[in-house]
Amino acid sequence: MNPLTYMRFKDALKEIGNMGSGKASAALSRLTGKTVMLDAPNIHITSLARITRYISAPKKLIVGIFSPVDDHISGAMITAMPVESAVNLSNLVSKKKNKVLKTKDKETLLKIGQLLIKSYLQEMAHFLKLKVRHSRPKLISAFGSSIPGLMASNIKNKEVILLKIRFNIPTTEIKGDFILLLGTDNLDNLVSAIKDKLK
Amino acid sequence: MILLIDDSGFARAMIRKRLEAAGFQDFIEADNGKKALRLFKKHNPRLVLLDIVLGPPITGLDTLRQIMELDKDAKVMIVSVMEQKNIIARAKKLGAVCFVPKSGDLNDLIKAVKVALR
Repeated sequence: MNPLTYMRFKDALKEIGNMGSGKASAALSRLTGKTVMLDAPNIHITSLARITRYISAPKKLIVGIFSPVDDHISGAMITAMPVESAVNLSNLVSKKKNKVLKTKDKETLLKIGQLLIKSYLQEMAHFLKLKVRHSRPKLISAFGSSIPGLMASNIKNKEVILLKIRFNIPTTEIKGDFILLLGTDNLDNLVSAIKDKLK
Repeated sequence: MILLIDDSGFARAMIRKRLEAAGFQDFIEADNGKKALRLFKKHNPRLVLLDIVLGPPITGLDTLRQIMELDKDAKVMIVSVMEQKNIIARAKKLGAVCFVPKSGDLNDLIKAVKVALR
């Protein structure tokens, strides 16, 4: 790819990330009754070994709802948030005032995460006219620095595309990231789908 | 003349190509709110397509508000990924004529543009 094409590809991927997270944030907004704000997307095409630096809060305990992604594109998606945000989100949705995550709260978070991942990936797949399948999500709890390793289990390449969009719900202390990690073996399919949109 | 405001060159190109294929022509483009306001003042376009998720220096909603202050009869359509009801409601209250999801069927966008330009 020449530099201009590379920049356009990154711009297109950002926009596709915006579409996915726009849909996911609308689902979260309906669920919570609150406005959900999104930051500008961050995209990095880098080596798997270097992605930890792009993950927020590496030293903090993170709760993530994680799902491998397969079919026309393969990789993994996670909705990750600091544990305090996860508690606040669970409380907001279930109208509770818990201080820690209990079993029921984890089930609630898993359902929320499932909805967000599904909304994000369906929108992306629909827009790009690609088949994107995701497995049943799992709830994970780990330090931020461990998240890339967990996500990388479904990645075949050493080079990856990391697309991260931060969300927050003002006035609630809830914030987190939608993170999509794809191996660069997906480049051909992505470039071809993006080109089709510009025909 | 139609003013396209979107910070993504990809999105602008995609929307413009589809509208041009449908017979619309004479476009001007802005990748931020400041440039958009300058172009709006200079050209007074018949229609503005605005992405509400706009990076600095001016947000999409502020760009809309300032366009409506410049011309209370301006026709501004929101073409965005932001589908949250309260944000769309805020945009309509500021004067936007309609909302079209950016990732949706672009034929809906063409129909909406035809209606807005009637």
